[in-house]
Amino acid sequence: MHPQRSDEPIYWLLFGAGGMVVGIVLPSVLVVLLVAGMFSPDLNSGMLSYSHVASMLGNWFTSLAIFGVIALTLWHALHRIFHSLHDFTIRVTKLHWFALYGAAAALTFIALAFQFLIYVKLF
Amino acid sequence: MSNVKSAYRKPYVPKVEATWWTKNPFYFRYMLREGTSFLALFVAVELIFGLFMFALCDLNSPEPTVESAAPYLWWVQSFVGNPIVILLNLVSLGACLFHAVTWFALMPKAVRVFMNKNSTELVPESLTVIGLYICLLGATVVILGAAFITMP
Repeated sequence: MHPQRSDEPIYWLLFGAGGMVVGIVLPSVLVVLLVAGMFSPDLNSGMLSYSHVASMLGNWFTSLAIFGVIALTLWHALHRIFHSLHDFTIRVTKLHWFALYGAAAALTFIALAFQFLIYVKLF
Repeated sequence: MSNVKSAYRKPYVPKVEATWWTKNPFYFRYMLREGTSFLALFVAVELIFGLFMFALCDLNSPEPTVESAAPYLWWVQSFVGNPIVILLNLVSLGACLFHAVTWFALMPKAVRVFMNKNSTELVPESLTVIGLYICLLGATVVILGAAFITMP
């Protein structure tokens, strides 16, 4: 009988990579979002204007980078929320695990689907 | 998490108040740090919402117009430009930087890098931490630089 292997390393790896993304990449992403929010861009001018984002999502490299940032942030955040349920004095069950990691998986695939759709439609 | 069910064992589960972390500044800081994960989740969901609104646009129209790009323009002007969302983004920025400082500080304890393969001596902690701050600075310069240079 082989002992059953834990699947925890996979989630821990995603959590660790996500921690790096949240610490290193997300601050500048938020600065971009704040600039976009304050200067109200339109079709063809300004930060995150329609044509600016169209060129970002139409480029496979930038689009993949954005997907990586979103996916790793999701896995990092939901892993940590799962593990802090205990600190919120919630008795953790397998259902909590499925709900939170399921949400991370679902949102990852939703982001991938949208980006793929936009990429294929644009070019 | 233990799923052991036994008739012979009746574990004692101490009662913990939900406000336990407000009574000690160390615990408060710990919960504040854990709380940053909710703001990271908010940012990810906000970006996915933006992708959704962009996908709703008429991407096949030969020349983008205010009508064809209406869903995305609503997201970027009215949602991201909403004062409450701007405030949340600002708080998230603070949370990300707080996360970065604490994450970088614990990294030398989590990742043990040896000086060379013939010794058990570890690289100095400051090297790892300073390296990560340089990464943060480099990534910020690259991303903001790329965003502003490509800005139409």
